[in-house]
Amino acid sequence: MDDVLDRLALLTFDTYVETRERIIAQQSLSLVELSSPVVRLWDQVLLLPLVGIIDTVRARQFTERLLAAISKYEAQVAIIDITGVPVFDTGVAKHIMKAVDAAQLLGSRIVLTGLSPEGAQTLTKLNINFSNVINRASLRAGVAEALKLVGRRIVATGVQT
Amino acid sequence: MRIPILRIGRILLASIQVEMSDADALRFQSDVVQKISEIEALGIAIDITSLEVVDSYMARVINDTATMARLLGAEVVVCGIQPYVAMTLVEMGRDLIGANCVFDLEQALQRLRERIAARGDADLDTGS
Amino acid sequence: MSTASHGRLDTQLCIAESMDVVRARADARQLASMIGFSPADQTRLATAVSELSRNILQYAGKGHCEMRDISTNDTLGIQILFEDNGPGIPDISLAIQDGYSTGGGLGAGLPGTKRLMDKFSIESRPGLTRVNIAMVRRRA
Repeated sequence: MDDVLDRLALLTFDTYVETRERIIAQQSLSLVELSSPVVRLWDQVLLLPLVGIIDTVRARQFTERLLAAISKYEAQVAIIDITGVPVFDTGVAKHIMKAVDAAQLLGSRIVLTGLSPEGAQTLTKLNINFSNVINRASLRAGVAEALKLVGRRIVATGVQT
Repeated sequence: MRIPILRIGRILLASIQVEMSDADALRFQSDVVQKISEIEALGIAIDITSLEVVDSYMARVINDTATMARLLGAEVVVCGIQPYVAMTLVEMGRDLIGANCVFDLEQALQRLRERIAARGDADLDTGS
Repeated sequence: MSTASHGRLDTQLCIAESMDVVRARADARQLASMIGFSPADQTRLATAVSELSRNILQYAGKGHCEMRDISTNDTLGIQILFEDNGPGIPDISLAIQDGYSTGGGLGAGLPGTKRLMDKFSIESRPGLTRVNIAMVRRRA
């Protein structure tokens, strides 16, 4: 009887662990998706905020998501915001450059926003400059630039509700 | 000696007038990026009228400064390259100054204004 | 070009800190001017001197340079020797090729300097590096 109960306990435990692992895996995936969502800012303008550590896996997912979105919405401009990327080194830069190159093959222009003053110095010392990208320090400036590229502008209506 | 960085609206002006050691150059570049970030500068003119000699080291300092500024969204113009300096740079044969180069400060400001006018973020209110 | 220097030794300068680069440039320019070189040539020379003395500072920590008037009846001439006892340049033939530079540093200015001068010779091994440059112009 004890033996049966033991084995039952073990089975319950195993199942519990399996389920838990599966949930964690799913949540990780969701977290990954969450931390690099694609926002459709305007008709042909996408916004992709990048948050967290960018490794090869995430970079690839990011690129795939970017290209899929450009294709789906026939986006002319994609704003990539890196304010939330804590470490910006050669590795991350190369990932982003690949994404940029691919996007441009689809005819899209890239606006890169959120680079810090220190980041600008670091990248330059590493001989990396995003020469085929429109750089803007703030997201706000990047949005204004992107809108201009598609012939749009944000204006005050003079009315406050 | 710390190189002063002047401000005209959202345009910065830095005049390199002295010999820069490695430490000076790093500090200059740090000051430039901080200032650009602080006022959300739209452009910067790097004036090198006082430099009678520009070797590959100085050229790299100038280029790097320009690159950093560009990465932070500022238009960059280099002005005041002396005739013999221009000649030497060309003879040395390297793509030594990559940034937009104009004759003097007046032209620099004009060129910057033109480029800024063509941007989408030129009239954002920065409140600074 | 032989490494034996001829001509009167006009200036000898120790290069150990940033200010010495400035001094070397100024001395070179002044000597060139006294010899009769044009302002354009003075700038060429000053630039080469700047390049080479900076190299010494950066890669050897310290060294010295000697400047000589090597003018003749028919020519204006100036020769400058740069010498240091630093670790040396690993692969010279590579270092004086265009486009070669290790991190924008070692030897990066050498190809350019070579182009500015009429004579340029370099020998380098761990413990001793010598760069000899000369500018010569026919008298008007």
